[in-house]
Amino acid sequence: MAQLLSADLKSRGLVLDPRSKLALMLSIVFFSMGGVGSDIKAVVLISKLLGLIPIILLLTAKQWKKALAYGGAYAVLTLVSLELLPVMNGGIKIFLTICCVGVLRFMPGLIMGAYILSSTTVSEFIAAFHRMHIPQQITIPLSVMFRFFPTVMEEMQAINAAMKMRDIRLFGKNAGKLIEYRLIPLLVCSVNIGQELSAAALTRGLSAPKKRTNICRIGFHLQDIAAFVTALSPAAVIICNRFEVIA
Amino acid sequence: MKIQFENVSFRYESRKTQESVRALDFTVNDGEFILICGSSGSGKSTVGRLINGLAPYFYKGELSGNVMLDGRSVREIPQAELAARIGSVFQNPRTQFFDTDSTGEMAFGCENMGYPPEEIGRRIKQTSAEFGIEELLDKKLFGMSGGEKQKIACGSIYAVDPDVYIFDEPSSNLDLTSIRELARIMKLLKNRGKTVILIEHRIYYAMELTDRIFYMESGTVKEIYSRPDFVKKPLSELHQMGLRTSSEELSQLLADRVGIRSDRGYVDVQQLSFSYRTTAAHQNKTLAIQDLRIPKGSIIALIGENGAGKSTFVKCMCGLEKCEKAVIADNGRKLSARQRLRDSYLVMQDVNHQLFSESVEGELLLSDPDISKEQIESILEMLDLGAFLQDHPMALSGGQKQRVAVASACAAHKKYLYLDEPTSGLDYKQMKNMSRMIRSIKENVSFVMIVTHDPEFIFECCDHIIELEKGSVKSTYPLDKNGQMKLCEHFMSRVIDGGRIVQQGKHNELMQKDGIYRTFVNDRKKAVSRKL
Repeated sequence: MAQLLSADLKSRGLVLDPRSKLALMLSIVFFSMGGVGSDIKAVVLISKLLGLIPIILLLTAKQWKKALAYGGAYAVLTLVSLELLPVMNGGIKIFLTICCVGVLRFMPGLIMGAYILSSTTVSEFIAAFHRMHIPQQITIPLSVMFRFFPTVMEEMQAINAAMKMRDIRLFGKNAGKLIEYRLIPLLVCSVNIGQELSAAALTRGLSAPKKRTNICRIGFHLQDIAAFVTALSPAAVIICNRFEVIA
Repeated sequence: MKIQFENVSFRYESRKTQESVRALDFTVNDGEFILICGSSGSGKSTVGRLINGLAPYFYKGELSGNVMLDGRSVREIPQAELAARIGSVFQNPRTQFFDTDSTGEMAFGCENMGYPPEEIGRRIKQTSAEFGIEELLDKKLFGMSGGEKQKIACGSIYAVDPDVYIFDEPSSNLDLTSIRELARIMKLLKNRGKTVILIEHRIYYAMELTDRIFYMESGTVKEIYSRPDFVKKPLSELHQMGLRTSSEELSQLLADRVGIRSDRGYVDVQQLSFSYRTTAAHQNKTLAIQDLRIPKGSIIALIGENGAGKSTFVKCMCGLEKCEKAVIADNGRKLSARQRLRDSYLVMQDVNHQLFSESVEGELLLSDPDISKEQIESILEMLDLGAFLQDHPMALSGGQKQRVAVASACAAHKKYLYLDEPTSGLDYKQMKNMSRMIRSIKENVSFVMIVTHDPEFIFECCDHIIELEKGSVKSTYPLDKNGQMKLCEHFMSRVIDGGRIVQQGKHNELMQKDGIYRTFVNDRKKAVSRKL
């Protein structure tokens, strides 16, 4: 979680525009996960291939371990669902089907999400939102929220350690207060941090009426075109198919 | 920029009963470097907030009188313009960042001002060159050390290029090296003709840069000193004012505890190794303690630069981090991680995470359900917290929370007590009280180990020194006559004068040269022999 939106700019490999990443994400969600257009063979094939995209992206970002684990799991499950399931029957078949289908459907989306968060910085997100003409009233609170997650995670860890010091743990002498003692400092810390952040934001002109600029050089390159083509291809196939049906 | 306060009083909405500052009347000239000092609660932060407009724009309250910037009332200047002309650096670097990477952070202010990207890029380049922080660009902010973060914070203000800089206790979380770096940056600002307002109780590091010193007490500027007048003041008077002193004045802090030895045995640490992430270079480092002997019945100062592994070592010791191979034995009896966790108490740097109850009293009861009313009162009285018995811990100031956390640690009846930087937010008097408190429980615990950068506190409180360097023990010695000399050497081996390193080297080398170091050590030798 500490990786969240705090990409190390020097070692992230292939740089995609945040908008391309979002397009790929949407495509994966619709076609791999949502199963839109699963009545068409070509779309099913493409959606399977879409599931491989997060692996490719993880590889370009040199996140070898994650890529390997995810790719391995994906391959094994695909094999199982194609080769093993048809020859099985009974309870095991139902159980395995649920596992395979569930994991195969959700995994690409989740991994893509993890990749996006670990490869994009807050200012890139803001820049992308800005280009998409999403108003500042939405992007600024959103950016502060992104900024907040890693901090809250850090706070949680520190609170847990402090609770151990005071014997507040499961089966300890203050077990009854486990939840209260975790939540109250977390809330207080979050409120304090929020307030200090807002104060700092004001002194740095976040409220200035001028149009904000952004130093992030986002923009479309060759790889982005490829990403968009991939993302849009299932929709294109579906549309062509429908028209043929009508015609 | 000229700053004028004309009969200014301010009362926070949240604390209606009492004016935070009253009848302030002073002028800060363009290009002046002003140090505002005073004990905590004296209203010095409020002065900063009145200049940058946070009070009353953000911290609501009742303002009377006029704060004028170049002849214009702050009330008439829109917040955005204030932001462009007045830069603020706060105490806690963690809560003044918006981006998660350093370059984005440096650009943040400029982006808000709407400067074109090329211009922002140029400014970042120039700033990082002048500050010497090029190697910090394009790095993650999470995982940087406090000193590095504070440099980025300064840089992100400098890139906007305001006329006035307000620093509100910027050194609180920094070690000595980082404080020196900060002083260097301040010098750069002064040389560029900027007006600087430094709000601090550590007064030494920027003394050379200071033009005038405002001393505040209960909401008013009680005295304004010129630097020559101020530096003539004897140490005792500064302490009376609640101010902390410099390491150059350690000679005057000499404690009367020579050769304290207890015969309660030792806790031995062997083969402790642990891999930790250092913040400085984003590398994994290893803590490797081969053989360390901790004398029981003593108060130990754990010293060393940031990233030396002090906090990690303490976490391993109290069982929060797992290091299976380590052999830790109390007078020969081996202690497992679980036992250590049970018998240890660690007060961490950020005390906000460690206070759980509804009241200060409840906090102590949580540590010891059987504690008597009188005991609670005496502990709180000793730490100057008597008036806050029923207050919610989270409503207290930073320094007060710190004391509550230490008070509950002292009440917890654990054998091994670890305190991580307990004095960072305390003024002189409070530091002394805390030291008294810790010494008072010394007999009831096996040892107290304190991670600290605070030389005054060490001289006041500790009996034994362990110095870590790059993950291993550099030296360990009792704080007797020789130990005190050695400790001075540690703090003095880079002799600084107003943030500038004027001498650097080993003890013997420095002793052969004529200079501030030799004079200092010789003075100390005299002082030691006199005491004996």
